[in-house]
Amino acid sequence: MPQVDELRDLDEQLTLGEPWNTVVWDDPINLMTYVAWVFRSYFGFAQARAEELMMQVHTHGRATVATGTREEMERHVVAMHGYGLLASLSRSER
Amino acid sequence: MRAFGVASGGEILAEFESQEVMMFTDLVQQIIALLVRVKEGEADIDGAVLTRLFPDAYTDDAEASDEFRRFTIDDLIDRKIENAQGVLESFDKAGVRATADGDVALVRLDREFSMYWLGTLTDLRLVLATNLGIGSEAPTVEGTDNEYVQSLYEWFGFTQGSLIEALEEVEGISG
Repeated sequence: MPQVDELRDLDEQLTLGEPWNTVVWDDPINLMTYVAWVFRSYFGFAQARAEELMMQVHTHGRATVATGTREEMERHVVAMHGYGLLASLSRSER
Repeated sequence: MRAFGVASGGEILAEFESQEVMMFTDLVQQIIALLVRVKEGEADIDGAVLTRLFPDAYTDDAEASDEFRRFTIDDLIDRKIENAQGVLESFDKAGVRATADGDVALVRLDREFSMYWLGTLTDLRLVLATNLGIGSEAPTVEGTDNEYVQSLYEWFGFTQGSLIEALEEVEGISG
């Protein structure tokens, strides 16, 4: 029978494997064209995709712009903060 | 300042009147001073400005957000200061054109310097907006000060909007 500690380790490993999302939130300050420009230049999205995500941020208040490991999403969030966008990371809902 | 335009060689250009250059560079220097104070850990900085420039990375976990901020803030500050210094440098390198109303500065931006500008214009707008109470609770400026800050906020918005249009024109993206 596994020890509690081992179970906890296993649980952590499984949790680490779960995908995380980078979420960009609507804010009343940044220009819509600027938000689309950031999506295009940082993530390399095509103009249509960048505008679609920007409109999603604008109309729904938020959009998931990337999904992956926690580390990757942390890097994206720092980058978004560097551009002055409101961004956070959270576990993907399944 | 009218708007950024694209010259035949793909260079992005704008003209600024001398009082606009003074106002702009003064505010950019203030942003640098603010960022240096944040980096040095000075305590008298408006919390609303701080959390807007360095937002929470975890919306439901204040402790994780604070830790994230501790690990990332120095690099973010360095990048923001680099942007701001790039803007000051482009004014230093600007050409001068004499007009009947006085000299105007002719600012030329390549893609690298356009990035510096977009970053700094964003930081300036975030700080001004927070002072105006846009996107946060109460304004910290009132009366005629408020009107002045509002006009700066709109002017920087116009400047940034026209720079993005010029960049899109260079990249061949129609708006």
